[in-house]
Amino acid sequence: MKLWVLAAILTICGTTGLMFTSCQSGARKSSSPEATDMITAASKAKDNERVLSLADSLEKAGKISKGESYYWQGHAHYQMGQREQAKSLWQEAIKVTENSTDANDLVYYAKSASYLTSQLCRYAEYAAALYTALPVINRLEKIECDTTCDYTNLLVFAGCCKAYFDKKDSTATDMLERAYRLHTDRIRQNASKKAYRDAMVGIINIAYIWNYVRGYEEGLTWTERMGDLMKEYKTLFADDENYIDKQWARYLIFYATSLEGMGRHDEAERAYGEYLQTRFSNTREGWTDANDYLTVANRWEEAADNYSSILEYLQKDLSVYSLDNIQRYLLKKYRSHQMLDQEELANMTARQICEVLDSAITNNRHLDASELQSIHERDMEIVKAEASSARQRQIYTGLVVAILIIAFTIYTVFRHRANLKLRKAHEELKVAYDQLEETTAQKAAIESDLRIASGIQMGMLPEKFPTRAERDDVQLYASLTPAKEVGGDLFDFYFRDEKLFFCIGDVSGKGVPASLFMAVTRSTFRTISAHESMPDRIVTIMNKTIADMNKNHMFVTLFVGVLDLPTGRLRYCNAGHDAPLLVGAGIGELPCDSNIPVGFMPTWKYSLQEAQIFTGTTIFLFTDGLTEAMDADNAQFQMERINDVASRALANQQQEPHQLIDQMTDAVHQFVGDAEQSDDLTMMAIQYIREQSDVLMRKNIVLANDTKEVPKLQTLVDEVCEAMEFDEKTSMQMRIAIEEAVVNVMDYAYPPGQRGEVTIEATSTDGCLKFTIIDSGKPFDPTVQAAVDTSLPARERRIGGLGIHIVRQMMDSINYERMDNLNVLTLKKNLK
Amino acid sequence: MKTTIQEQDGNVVAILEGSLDTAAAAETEKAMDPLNDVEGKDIIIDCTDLEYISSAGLRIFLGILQNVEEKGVHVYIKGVNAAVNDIFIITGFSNIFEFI
Repeated sequence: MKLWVLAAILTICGTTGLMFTSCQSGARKSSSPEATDMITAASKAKDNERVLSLADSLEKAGKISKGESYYWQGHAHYQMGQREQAKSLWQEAIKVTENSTDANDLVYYAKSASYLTSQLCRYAEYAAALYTALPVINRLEKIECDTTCDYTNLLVFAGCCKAYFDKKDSTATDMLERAYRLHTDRIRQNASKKAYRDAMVGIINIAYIWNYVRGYEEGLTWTERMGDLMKEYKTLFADDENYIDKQWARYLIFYATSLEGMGRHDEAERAYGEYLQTRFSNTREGWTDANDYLTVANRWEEAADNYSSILEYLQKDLSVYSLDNIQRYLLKKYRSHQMLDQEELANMTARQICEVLDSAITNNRHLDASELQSIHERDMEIVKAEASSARQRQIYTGLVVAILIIAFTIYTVFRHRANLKLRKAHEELKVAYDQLEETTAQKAAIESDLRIASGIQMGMLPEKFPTRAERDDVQLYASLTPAKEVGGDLFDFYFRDEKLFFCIGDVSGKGVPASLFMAVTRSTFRTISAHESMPDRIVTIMNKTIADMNKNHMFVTLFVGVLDLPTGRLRYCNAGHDAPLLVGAGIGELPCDSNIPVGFMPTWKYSLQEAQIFTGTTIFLFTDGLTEAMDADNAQFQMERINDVASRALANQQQEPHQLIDQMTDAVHQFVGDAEQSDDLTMMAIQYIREQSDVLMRKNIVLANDTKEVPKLQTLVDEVCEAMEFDEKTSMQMRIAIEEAVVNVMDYAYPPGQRGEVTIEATSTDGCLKFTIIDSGKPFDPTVQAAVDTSLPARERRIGGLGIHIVRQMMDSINYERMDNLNVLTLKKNLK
Repeated sequence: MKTTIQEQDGNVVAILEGSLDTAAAAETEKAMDPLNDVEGKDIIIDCTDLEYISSAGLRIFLGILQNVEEKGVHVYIKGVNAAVNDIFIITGFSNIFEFI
């Protein structure tokens, strides 16, 4: 709001200031007509002094323009015979108006130029005249002010000057013709006195110049035009006697001169005769003009007489000869006398000239000097006036600038204050925003952390569980319900070589670090158990691996179990975890050594435990999320309740893994109610359901650990295959598989050189054929050998590992158990 | 298990007859040893009458191949039956030997 007010004030101030400055510069755009009339009247009355004073004061009062003022001053000086001043002023006038486009200015531009040129021409300063006239003519033509009277006059003068310099100059003729046309057009448009008179002046000048430069033919043409014009004038304005008389007289003289020049004496004489009858012929001017003819006609006597008359006349009027008079009259008189061979008179005239020349020159000099001084004074005045007006302009500009600065300062101050307030508000906002941002970021970080952690956790868990149709030896199910903040629980299981490897665990801590740790734990479990079948070995190695890379001092409680599916033998190792429940004949806890959680001490040796799982029993594993599940009153679920639920399930014959876990889940949910889950809730249930099938066939053989015994082995295999009614291909497969397995045992079970025994037993049930290879050598598990890469080229192939590879390919399953100091390797072929 | 080594059409041919099981491996290895010194010619192992081969036998073949390969000698296996072919495929040996 304030802004607009300030801007308005500024604009007003600025404009006013500018207006002031422009007023004083004097470049007023239009003159007042009353002023011009006043001066014109004074001029007509030949009151030159008054003209001068009027011009000056009216200009200062701003009633007339500078151009007009200078023009009138020049005119007045000219009338007073002060040629130099006139010249200088008219030049000034031209200067101040030459670049203007104002109509009024242009009038005085043309007028001043016209008068100046005419004066210059009159005093034979033809070069200066041309120099003055031509630019003006060009400018007037350019801005299309080329039909004015003054322009026409300029054309006439310029043309005459050109003709003077070169009477064959075609541009001169063009200009003069153009001027003539302009005059006649004007007359045609408006046959006024003024139009005629202007035309006359022009034509007279032209005619005169042609005669003067002895272009008598052209002179004649122009003179005749002059004559025609006068005739017209006579008809129209018959009562303007004096003017008619004068102009007619002049026409006659020019006519006579031209005729004489062209050699037409008689006609010329006749014209002169007519001339003598005019009143004008008897005036000083008339005598002067007559002499133009007389000198051309070589009528020197008459010319001389005329000059004497003139001089007599002049002596009466003038007290002093000027250079002008001397040239005009005395010199001409002298020439006339000369032409007439009037020696005495010529000498007299010469003496006269000498006498008066000195004072005339001095006078002229004085005149010049005084004129120059006046001019100089006037110039000084002009300069002073300019200076003062310039100063005034400066003052006003200064004022305007000062106002602008003040206004700007005020504006800036207000703006600044507003800015400060704004900035302060902005700062406060920024602080608030930063706080908000931080909080939001923290929240977002937490949330994204949680999402990441959750993603990691859930991605790590097995999703599919084998169905009844897929496996007839074990059933299992597990569930993990994560808490809002990921708790790091894990479980895993997989089958390898007729064993179920499984684990359950709980990582300390929460969030992303916990879930990462959990991921590491799981992958370590898988990697190590691929080569280790003993849980204690598995856990020991896992512990070392994890403890070594555990900078954050995290740890994980873990339970690892390996269930041998053919026999139901469970081997396990507990690392600080809750002991699982066995739900079978009754409810009981699996006896567990507590050991220590994994990740603490890299050197801890974990203990191995074993148990026999009977068909139908379910192993129930869980984390402390179950035991410590809290309700709204912070009471915990606890072991008792778990036992209760399990008992109930058992009683209802619902100890199948999925059923059991569902029941447990329901019970927990009921208990916890609306309270928020504080920790991950993880449960896993494994039920051993293997039924012992009836054995249909049993054969065995005992061999020494010498590969030479292999043929005996072959005999057994052949017998078995025959009994099983295998086809050739299958028999071959059996043969090589058994051979490779047995040879393997023979080679590695006993120390080299030591003799030992290898028992091979073949049994068949309804579903499968089984070969069991038993030896009493050192513990050796062929199933953990590294896999063979069959795609390697010859150079890179290793000799070892082929045997087991072949066995795996040929048989449906291979299972190793260490039982009572015996290595028991079982190879199975499914029959259905 | 019978092993015979001959020259045929500028190639060295090893004819195997019988079952190359682990028991027979040591003996067969000895019998096939001369093949390791073959140079400038190709080796053809004729398995037409080979009923059976165990990993021990495969090892012998691999050994020979690794020894003569750098000399630019080719080892071709000829006339394997279904069972033996199976073994070759399972163990990936079908990729490293050329069969004719």
